[in-house]
Amino acid sequence: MKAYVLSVAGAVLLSAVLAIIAPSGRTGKFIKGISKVFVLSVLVSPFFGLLKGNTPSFSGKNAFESDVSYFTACADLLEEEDSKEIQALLQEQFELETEVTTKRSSVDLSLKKITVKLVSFGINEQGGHIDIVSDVQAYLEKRYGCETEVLP
Amino acid sequence: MKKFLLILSAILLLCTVFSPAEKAHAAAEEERQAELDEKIDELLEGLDTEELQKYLSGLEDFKGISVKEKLKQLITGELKLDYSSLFEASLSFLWEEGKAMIPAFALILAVTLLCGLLGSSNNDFLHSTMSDIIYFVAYLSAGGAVLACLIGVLQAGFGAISEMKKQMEIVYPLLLTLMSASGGAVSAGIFRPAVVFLSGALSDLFLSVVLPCSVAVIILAFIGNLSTDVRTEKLGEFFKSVTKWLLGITLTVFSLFLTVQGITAAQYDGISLRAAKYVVSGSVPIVGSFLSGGMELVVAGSALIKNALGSFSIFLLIGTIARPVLLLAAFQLFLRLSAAATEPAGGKISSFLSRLAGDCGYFLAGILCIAFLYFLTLVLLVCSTGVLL
Repeated sequence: MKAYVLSVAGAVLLSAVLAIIAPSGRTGKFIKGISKVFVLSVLVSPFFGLLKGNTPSFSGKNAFESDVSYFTACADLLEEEDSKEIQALLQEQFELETEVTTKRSSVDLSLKKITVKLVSFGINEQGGHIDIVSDVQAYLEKRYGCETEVLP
Repeated sequence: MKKFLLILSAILLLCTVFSPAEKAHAAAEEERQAELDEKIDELLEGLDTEELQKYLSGLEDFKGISVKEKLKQLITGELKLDYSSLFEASLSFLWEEGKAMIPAFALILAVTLLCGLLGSSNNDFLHSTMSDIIYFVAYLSAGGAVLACLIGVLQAGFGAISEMKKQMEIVYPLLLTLMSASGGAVSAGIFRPAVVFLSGALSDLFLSVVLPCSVAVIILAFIGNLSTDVRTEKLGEFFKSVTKWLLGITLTVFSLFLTVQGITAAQYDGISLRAAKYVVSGSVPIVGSFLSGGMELVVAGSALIKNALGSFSIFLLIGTIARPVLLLAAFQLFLRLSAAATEPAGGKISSFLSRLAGDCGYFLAGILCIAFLYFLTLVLLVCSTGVLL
């Protein structure tokens, strides 16, 4: 575009100079006519390029990448909060002492997996350990709808 | 009786304000606020602002500024704008640029007066060809002085659009990330192709076609008066028409599409988020809301950081376009003043200067159009949070 504008400006400038210095009479008219044809050819030159198929393209970046490190930081934060909340919940519902680790997706921050390690069974009977494990697993799977692993 | 009722209601009001329950509620609010502040600090640490920091370090006016500190100040409300000093700085800039154009103004005035004097002696002792040459030289001198001032203005304009393009490429990925993290996944999906288009193809279109067309209008206005044999008015009108159409179509189509789609997507995200919260709360009768506390903190924190970043980007945008817009305003004022001053001397120089002042408006419109679209996307990205929460 810049080259086109400069070429038009140059052609018109040259034509103006020729018009001033051209002699009067038929020679002068001939020179002025040639300069007009020259300016006209410079003006229409881009259209020949368009007809040949040289169209301009304005492609830029195809996509913007999300900041994965931010989602990872959010997931880490949420995993910490989730662990504390589930620990408190299990303490309240089943009177169990547990160590809880959770896994959140760093793409959409959804809860993927809960891992519960039973530390102490509290007031629950010795024989009821297997029932407790399955109860806790079923309870957490129903509540959060994600994969749960309970380790005795 | 009335007095007794008044005293009773005053006592009840005082009890409500100073009751232990109210104090406990206020304490709980303060605790939640402190927790949110702590989470915001952690989330800010996780946000990758290295590219934005590097970009700011390259700017004279923003050197030494820490992005994360400024975002924190915006979130807490510590950052205050001093509007009076801003206004004074703008006036001072206009005055300085006006003073810099005085030599060119003096040259144009002198050349036009001389040309007018010599032109009036055409029939007496100067041949008409000599008059044409004198007019040609005078016109080139005046035009040269104007174009020398114009080059700096045009470079500032092109530079502003390149800077805006760079800012868009840095700021948009951060804003879209924060939007997704604050529950606006659908909104982010809607805005992503639109902002990619704005920062890529549309900015290139303005840099490669719209602004050069407006420059072509200016150049053709100059060379059209060089010779009576070669006229370029219609070509100038063609480029003006192309510029007007491109600006009109871009503004109308893009801004309408973006606004409607953005609001619709934000409404969808808001309903989804509220429905998810309701389901979680509904399934756990006693402690349901406590379960989603962590998620709420992340969503709220991300939304606050997003809004702060959006506001910061708007300040950056204003700082970027202020100089070229003020420069163009000063230049147009200078041209109109020169046209008014040279009109009594006669000749075509006055009408050329006046026409040029009008044609510069197309260049200004190009810069303001892209700045407006950038501003509109920033506002939509920031304001979508209000619909979600």
